[in-house]
Amino acid sequence: MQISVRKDSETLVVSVQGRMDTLSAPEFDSKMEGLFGQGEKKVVLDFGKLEYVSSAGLRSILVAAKKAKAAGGSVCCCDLQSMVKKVFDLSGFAAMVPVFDSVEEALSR
Amino acid sequence: MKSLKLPAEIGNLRTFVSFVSDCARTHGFSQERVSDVELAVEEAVTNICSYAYDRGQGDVEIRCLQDDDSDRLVVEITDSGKAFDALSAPPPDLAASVEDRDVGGLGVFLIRRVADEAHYLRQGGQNRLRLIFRPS
Repeated sequence: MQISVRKDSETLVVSVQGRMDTLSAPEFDSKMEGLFGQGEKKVVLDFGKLEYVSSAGLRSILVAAKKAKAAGGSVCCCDLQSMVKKVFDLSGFAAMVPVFDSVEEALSR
Repeated sequence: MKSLKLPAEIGNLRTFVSFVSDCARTHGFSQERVSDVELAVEEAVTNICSYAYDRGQGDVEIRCLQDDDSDRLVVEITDSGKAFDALSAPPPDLAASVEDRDVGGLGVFLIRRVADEAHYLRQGGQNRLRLIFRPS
């Protein structure tokens, strides 16, 4: 898994690439923890290059969403690829977390 | 029949996942179904590594079997740890909000959703999870 971060005005765009599984999810957790620790609270998760997510990845996304909400911010997800979209649909995450077709759409909301 | 037996350690997770991924591809499964098999096996193996044994004391064995009468793929995951029927876990509350949603409990739910059948058997001191996947 690779994570890259860029800032767009007040919003942080976090792009996650590869596989978010039991082994890699802790890396995402610590990255997000660091970003929230710096006071970031509005986050767009760009999953355009995320190929795979398991329950461990979903847990990490939920933890990030909970932290953002508690800080008065938000987390949304965008550009879900087929496998990730399926897992979001099955798990109810698609109805729980805002999901957008593209980063641009998420930023212009 | 193909099988792989390794210590129940989370560091072996991707080796198990690659093994079933190859089995499903050889079986002619689409990329979508290959991912379903990978997901179910990750969830099952993660549970075993986390709960079945006291640290580093046992193995996980995965067997991929071809169903004689059909084109279904049968994946059997066996451990010799504590008796544990993961399939008996209660379903998560899918309608909960971000604030109320529990951070756990999704693994077994996903296994049930992506596999066409899931059966648990405790036999001879072993837990055996039998997952059946149709090609589509």
